[in-house]
Amino acid sequence: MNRPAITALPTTTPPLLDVRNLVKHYPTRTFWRDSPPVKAVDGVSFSLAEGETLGLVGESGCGKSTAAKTLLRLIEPTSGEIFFAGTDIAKLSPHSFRPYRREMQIVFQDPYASLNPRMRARDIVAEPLRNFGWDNRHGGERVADLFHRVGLNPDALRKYPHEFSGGQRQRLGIARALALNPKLIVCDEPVSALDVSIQAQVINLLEDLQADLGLSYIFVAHDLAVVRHISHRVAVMYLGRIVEIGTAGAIYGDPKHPYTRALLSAVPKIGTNRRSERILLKGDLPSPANPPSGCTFRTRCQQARPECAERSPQLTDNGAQHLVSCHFA
Amino acid sequence: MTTPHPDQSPVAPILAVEDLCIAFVSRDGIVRAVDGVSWQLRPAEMLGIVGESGCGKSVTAMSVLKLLPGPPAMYSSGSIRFRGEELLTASEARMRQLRGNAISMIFQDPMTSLNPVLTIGEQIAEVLILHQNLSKRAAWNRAGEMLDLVGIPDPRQRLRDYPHQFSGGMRQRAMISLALACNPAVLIADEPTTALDVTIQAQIMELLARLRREMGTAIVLITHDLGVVAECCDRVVVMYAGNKVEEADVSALFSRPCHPYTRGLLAAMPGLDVAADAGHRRLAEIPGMLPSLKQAAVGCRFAPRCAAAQERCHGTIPELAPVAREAPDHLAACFRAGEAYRGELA
Amino acid sequence: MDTPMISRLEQRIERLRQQPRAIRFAARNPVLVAGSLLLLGILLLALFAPWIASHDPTEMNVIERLKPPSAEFLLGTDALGRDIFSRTLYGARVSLLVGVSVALLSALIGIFVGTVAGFNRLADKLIMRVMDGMMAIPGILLAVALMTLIHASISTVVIAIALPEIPRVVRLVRSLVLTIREQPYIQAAQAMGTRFPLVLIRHVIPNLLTPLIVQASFIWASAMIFEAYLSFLGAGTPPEVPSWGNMMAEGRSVVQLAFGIILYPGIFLGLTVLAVNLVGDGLRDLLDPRIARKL
Repeated sequence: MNRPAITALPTTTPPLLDVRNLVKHYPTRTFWRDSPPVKAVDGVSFSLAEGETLGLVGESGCGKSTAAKTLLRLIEPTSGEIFFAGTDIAKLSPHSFRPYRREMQIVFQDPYASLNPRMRARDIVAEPLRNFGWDNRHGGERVADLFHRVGLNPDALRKYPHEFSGGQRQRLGIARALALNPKLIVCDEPVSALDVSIQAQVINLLEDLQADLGLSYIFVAHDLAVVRHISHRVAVMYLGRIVEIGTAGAIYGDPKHPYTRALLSAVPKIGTNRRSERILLKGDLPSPANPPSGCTFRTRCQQARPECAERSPQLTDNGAQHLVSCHFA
Repeated sequence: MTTPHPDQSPVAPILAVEDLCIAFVSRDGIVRAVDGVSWQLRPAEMLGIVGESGCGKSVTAMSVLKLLPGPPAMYSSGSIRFRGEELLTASEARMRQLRGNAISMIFQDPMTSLNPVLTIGEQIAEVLILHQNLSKRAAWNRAGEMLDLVGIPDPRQRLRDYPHQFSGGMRQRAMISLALACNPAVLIADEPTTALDVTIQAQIMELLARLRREMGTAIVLITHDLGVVAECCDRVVVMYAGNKVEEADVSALFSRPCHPYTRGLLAAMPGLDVAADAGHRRLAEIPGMLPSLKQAAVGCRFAPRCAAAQERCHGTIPELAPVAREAPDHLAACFRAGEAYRGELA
Repeated sequence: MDTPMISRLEQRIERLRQQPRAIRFAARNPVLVAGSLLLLGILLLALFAPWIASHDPTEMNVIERLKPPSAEFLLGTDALGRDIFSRTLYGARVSLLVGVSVALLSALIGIFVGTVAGFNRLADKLIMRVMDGMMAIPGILLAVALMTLIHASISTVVIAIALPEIPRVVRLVRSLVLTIREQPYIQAAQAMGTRFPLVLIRHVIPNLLTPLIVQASFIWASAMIFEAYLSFLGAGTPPEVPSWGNMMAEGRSVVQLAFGIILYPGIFLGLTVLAVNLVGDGLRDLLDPRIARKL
């Protein structure tokens, strides 16, 4: 099955989601003094069109999950703007934000931990419906419908989460996210806890749902191949910032940022013997509480030059909406 | 292919697992976690054991050092021979001599084998003093060399650090240096990079490959990641539901996978190298899920999920056999493996 | 194709499977079943005390004082000629009543206060300091003080015993809430627009009940012992109430003449505490999946 390929964004319609300079800092305190805050997300901007999937990749600690959860205000942003269909939802009071919960939902990484172990499957999926005033009869029909939609048997309705396999649990999580007919679903590592064969089932399900319902996805994952497969556009994050963003084809076919290149070369590949081309990064991720000056990647970058420590590079468009944050790209 | 024919193979295996059956016994039933699995590890070889969760790969690994707790785990048959010595009947005292000395193991979570209240140096030195009768001073010096060997900067300083002062990748290195301290003949690596990021994974796999070259350690790499296996291993064993379903040289397995399960796994993996304009490929699913291992197998365990299954697959257990006369060390447990090998299977 | 060893085991398990469910449950949870049966027996004795007892537990008969066991007085009589058997049966009522009330009271207060502490940082600081203060008060002294301030009654005893237990329950509930609130399913509920009170009722409280029930059963057992202590010291249930502690206190002076006055209530107290503790242990094993089920 093929889905419509979104290669370039139509510039006339406003994007569904427009994030500008999103920041999340966590204050830290030691015994005797305030230490610098942990800059989990440090000025992230991107936009997302209706029906589009934006992949967010990076290594653990790069802030991709935090950024995604901040969009839904599961984590309160420190500053920045989040325009959803034209409204800045970052500034709304909790009360006026609540209706937006119907529009934007989330699928979590750990399908077991995100389901209340003491609730039956049908109550788990019905919870959002009850929250927004569906009565029991219509709610029941909707739940049965959703079970069918995500490929769960009707006899699963009465089961508890521990009676399901990993893949089925994630289907349950997806059914719950779909319940209120949202426009946007944030998928936070939805397949990283699943085996390859089950992972394929869930990815295909997500793609089918997008084709049928016109959903937009923010797809957070550390698996570069999965992101490549499902995303129209991809943003690569490093230490709380987007270092490169563009169409999946551009990012994977012609990566410009040294970090993206290193990341791609580190992925083990089947069939091609490309060991010689591997760029091995030195050392570990610097602390996000005390990131390097200038370009934050310079401490591990093989192309780093003195000026990288002085000036911090900005995301600049190299044409065709392929933005890179490197002085030498 | 340049690999010698097994009959003429001059090197005896250093570790040989034969017809191993491990069951977990509980009141609710018997789970046949490993059901008649055999493989051999030759010196300085890297053998990959791949499969999805519940396929028995980790149980096999733990069983080599007899680390599975008595009940519920039960070795119901088979043998594990290390340099010809039977381990399944070996005494606990003998096993303690071997563990961490001749056969070492590293785990997915380094903190399972690192003691949080001792410094890294103390832990490495302790192993050396115990197994190699080194003096305290000599052990400490050797511990520093080990950290240097696994690429930890400032090794003499870092010996005094506690595990929590290390980052995830460094802890994994420290655990590897601990496992390799006594220069073991065999290293069993159980998902050593699963918890790590790709860039750190690349560093660790590079390190294992280098150690194998320099120290001649034979490595059993247990993983769910076919990509890692493809890049590092010499031979691969594919497991499904407690059975070995396919075994081959790494190049043969990935260029001509013969068991439908292996083929399914490869097709289910999204690739990086899809050309941007090639159109969108839908991932191949393996329908259904893992069978219950509480019933004894009556046919092929994979048959219910297999697109190529025929009637005989449900009633008869396929034997592991060479897929073709010209490929005697490419084994698969499937009636239709020959067809797959010749490319006759869709 | 199984090895002979596996086939033999499979047959054994098959035989186990064919037994009735009740027997399988008992074989799997022997501690829980033994404790429950024992506790049930004591409960029935207490419940039907008026019908089982041969005498009024408070009826005095000076002529029959300090009699050894006989057909009329099954376990003999005490210094005032009251029937020890009847008094022991009625004593079970007091003991169980106090135990259950203390467990319920401290659990209910614990859930409320502990949940507040787990969710509100400011309240947490305040509550935990108050709890630290409460924990610093020796239980016996508090009870004696309460008894002298307020007139002695069973409810005073319950309050006196429950007060020192409350900080322990609050600490348990608070730590459970702190773990549960970080669970992804709580964040999921938030993402679905579940309002905070409903998050508590649907997600938090059901998930802390299991460990709390186990804890409550242990409080029940210790409350019964504590009640006996207090009564023995004369700071517990009013002396006219036939509680086990009172009986043992009264028997103290005549222990050389009639050992039974202390022995029989003592045995019953021991058995009841044992039964409740067995139930608690059994529940913990049954509800805790981490404890491996062995054959």
